[in-house]
Amino acid sequence: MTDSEQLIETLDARVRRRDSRRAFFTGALGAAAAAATLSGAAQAQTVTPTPTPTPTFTEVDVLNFALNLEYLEANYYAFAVTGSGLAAADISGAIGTAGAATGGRAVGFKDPIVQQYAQEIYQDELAHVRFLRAQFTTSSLLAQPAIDLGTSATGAFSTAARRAGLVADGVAFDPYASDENFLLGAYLFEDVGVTAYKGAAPALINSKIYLEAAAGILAVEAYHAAIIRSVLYRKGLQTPSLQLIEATTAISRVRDTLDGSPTEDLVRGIGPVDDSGLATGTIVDNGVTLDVSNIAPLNSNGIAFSRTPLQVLNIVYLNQAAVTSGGFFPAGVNGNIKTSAASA
Amino acid sequence: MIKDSVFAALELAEARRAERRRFLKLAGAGTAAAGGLALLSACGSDNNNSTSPSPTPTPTPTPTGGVTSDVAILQLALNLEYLEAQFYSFAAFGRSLPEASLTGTVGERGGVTGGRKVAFSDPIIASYAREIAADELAHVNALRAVITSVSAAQVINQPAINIDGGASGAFTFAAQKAGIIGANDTFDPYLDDKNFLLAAYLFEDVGVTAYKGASPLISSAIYLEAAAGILAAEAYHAGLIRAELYRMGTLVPGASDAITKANAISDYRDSLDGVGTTLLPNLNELDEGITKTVSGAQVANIVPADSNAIAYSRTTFQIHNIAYLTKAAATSGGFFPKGTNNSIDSLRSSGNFA
Repeated sequence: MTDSEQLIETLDARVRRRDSRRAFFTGALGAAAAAATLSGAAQAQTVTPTPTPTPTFTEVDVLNFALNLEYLEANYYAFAVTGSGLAAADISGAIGTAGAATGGRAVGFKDPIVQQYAQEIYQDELAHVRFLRAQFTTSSLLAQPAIDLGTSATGAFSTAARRAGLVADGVAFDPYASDENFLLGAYLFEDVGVTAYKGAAPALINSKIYLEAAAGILAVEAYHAAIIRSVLYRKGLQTPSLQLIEATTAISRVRDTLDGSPTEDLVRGIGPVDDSGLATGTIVDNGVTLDVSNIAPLNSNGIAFSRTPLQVLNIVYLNQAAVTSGGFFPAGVNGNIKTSAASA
Repeated sequence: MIKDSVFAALELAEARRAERRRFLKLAGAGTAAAGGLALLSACGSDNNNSTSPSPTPTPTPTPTGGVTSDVAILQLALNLEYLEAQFYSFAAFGRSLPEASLTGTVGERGGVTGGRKVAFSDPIIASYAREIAADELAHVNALRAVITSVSAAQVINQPAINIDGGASGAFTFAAQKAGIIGANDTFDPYLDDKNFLLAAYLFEDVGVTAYKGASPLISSAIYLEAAAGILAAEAYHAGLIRAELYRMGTLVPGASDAITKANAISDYRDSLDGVGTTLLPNLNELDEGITKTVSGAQVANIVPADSNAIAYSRTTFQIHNIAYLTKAAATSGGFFPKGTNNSIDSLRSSGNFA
């Protein structure tokens, strides 16, 4: 079978991820083009891959860092589903400054499927908290730090929403007010979890059991993100007036801005653009314009993005600068990885 | 300080792994026969398969010489990506991948049997098919480029692939065994939205478990991060497919079989890759349907994961049991009529779970 060259329509510049789909339609050039995009990174490696870099974080640092994020996510879903945050037995610890997760409440779910998904994700995140905690003795266990999940106009959700243009200055964003708001709140977290675990993978390379466990949590966070993204996508298409898809584009842009512009590495999944929303892309195939979704935010190699722990802190602290607290963690996270990157 | 008992167990397990990795590298690619890799693979997924071949290695001729285990793992992954990418390419666009993305040096080059464009009725599902098709082609090209960066001579040819929707196709065989069609019926994955999703369902979770199982086997931090990135992509895809089947089965009148059939496929996959033991009844329970029963009610189970909410791992053998649609030790079958291609022979084999 001969493979025909396809014309590529100029893709919506706002949806930069779609450029990767050119590879599909350039026939014989596709492979070369893709190889070309990879070769930039590959050249740096020569034939022998560069030596495994010494991780700058210990395994304990990385696990503790992850536990902070799981505390954040688990409490959000716990509030949304049950009306309360995590139980004392699931958040106590000897390391760091203990704090409460505050400000959440139960969502009055209208869509039973969204409610099912919220319940399932809650159970998973609680299991992640418990798994990570179980790796430590009582005296080495990281306490949950203070977490702001509230609906104040000056709180973390509202700050993030304002930056994304979802609400005006001084107006609060309440993720518990509706199914859609809950989904947007979840959207804020889930892709970040994927990029966080992926970025942490190299630091765990010498500890195969933790590496495999982290890979398994990474996968679950991606399953979650796909659930949230696909539900938002379908609802956004069905009811355009809700502007759900536009909201995801805006939230992604905020995250992308917060975490700076590292040099692109298409093999490792690092780059100045490491986030994308749900706006539909288009391609032209045999002269016909076709829609292409963007449920999986990936680079042109189909590889998910990595964020360093410091970049993740830029996002959860809602601050591009190197700071030790802010946003969802008003007193900062606990553990040795506490300062965000200087990403401004 | 991590719990001493946990740490001790980790140290022991890590020492075992390190030892086996050294064995693989010192013995050379050719002599890393089924025994050694069974242990290595089993180690990688903690499955301790009681049916693993004897650990005494049987020397075999070095196929190409000097193939690192990292490259062999990437080759294994590339076989799976060829399969997925071709399925989605046909389903979404009615054509094969470009020739330039299929040719290599290692292994026999094969063609694709079957495949055609799906006439989607839901435009959203059509857009999903196109997205996934583009992602899987990107994976094919990315893996080829990474292998090329080590040595162009180690890129594998696309092996023979069967994605046929006819009576003698791999999908029909799988569907009959899974009990989602009658013994004399045909399963055509290109017939409609539901069949397309069920066929995609067959692949996607397997890809996740393959990359997860392989993660401890990769020694280069860069390749690890790339593999983790593809793992994440496959999990996004799997989550999407599973959620769509759940939604279809829940909301679309007359389509509740989307759920029952997906669950049957899960049970079928689970039957191919080993069973539990009296002591470890959940051993090799590596698959879950898209619903489960909690307190007598059926609830969503979009994420297949263990009690720690950690995704499952499959060994290189178990991946082949599913790809070859067999419980037996084999080097071909099912979706790969001539087997997968690999510089290391034992990475083409399914395990003996018969």
